[in-house]
Amino acid sequence: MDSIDLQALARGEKPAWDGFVRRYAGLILAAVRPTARPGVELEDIVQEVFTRLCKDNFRLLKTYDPTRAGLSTWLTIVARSTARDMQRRRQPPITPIDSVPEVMLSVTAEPHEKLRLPEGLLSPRQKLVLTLLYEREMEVAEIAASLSIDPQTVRSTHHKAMLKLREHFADHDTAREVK
Amino acid sequence: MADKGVEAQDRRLWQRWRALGEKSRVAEPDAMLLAAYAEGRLSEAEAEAVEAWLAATPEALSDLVAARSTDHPPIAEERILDQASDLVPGSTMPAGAEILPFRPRPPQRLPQWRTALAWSSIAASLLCASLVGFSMGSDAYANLSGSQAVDTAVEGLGAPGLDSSYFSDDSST
Repeated sequence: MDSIDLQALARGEKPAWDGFVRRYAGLILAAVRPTARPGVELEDIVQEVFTRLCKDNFRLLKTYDPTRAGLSTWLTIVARSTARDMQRRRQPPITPIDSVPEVMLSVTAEPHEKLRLPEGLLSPRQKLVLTLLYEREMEVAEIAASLSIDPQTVRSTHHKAMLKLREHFADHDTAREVK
Repeated sequence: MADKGVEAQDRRLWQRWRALGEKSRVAEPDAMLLAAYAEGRLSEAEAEAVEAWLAATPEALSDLVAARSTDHPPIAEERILDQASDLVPGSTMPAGAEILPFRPRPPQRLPQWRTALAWSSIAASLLCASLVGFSMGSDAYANLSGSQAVDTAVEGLGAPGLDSSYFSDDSST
């Protein structure tokens, strides 16, 4: 941030742009490196990030608000998102079989449950914690570090979510038995 | 977290719930919102929107982790910098900078007395060199013409037995 004049940058002033490029190219490079294949592609992604930033008269760059987050944080997010978009464009959409829940793959003759999930049964954070635990196979400590929360919060979120699910499915199973 | 049996039960319950629920389509939050989330600057309501998207796109979680650890980035190669720099046309000169035309520096003027002294020194040197040269030339001429006159005189005498070695400075004679 320090020496970068954001207003001059948004006005498209060449010296400001050059200073910005010189200062943040390394950061963008580091952000996209884990997503890139070795070789030329890395440079392509970095160029795509810079192109996005200055495209349409610096439209994306003008959305940056220094009061909400640091420029490095924001740029890393932009760079990673750009890299993911590029990978998506190049690769056909493939879902690895391991990431599909077993229930989705089962071919049992059980009739499909006609259950409507109540909206908001689980909070977004509860869904996120369960997804990370059971689909990404992450450890509690890892999740806590990723979300910048206490490991105890992860455990309690998980606990509350499971209580809700158990209660919900218990009611549903009882109702089915009665029928 | 819990014992294996309970964990397996929980996992099955989650999978059952997942199988029933449609993968909700949550619009991707903009980069500013994600960056603020990464820095923990969002209100609870705003954070919920981000977490709903993350639950549907868990692979993006690594972006947030990367965004929090941006210390000591590598130095980009000049080629990358040049390519990025070329994206924005224009002069690299700062706005408001003034171009000054090249003007040759005016010759430095020495004080008059120093100029006079310099010229006098040159003139004196030339005069000295001329005088020395002239005197050396005169001496050489005198020597040459003197020896020639003696030779002529000796030849004029026609004395037999006298040769030029007679006039040499050989002390043995």
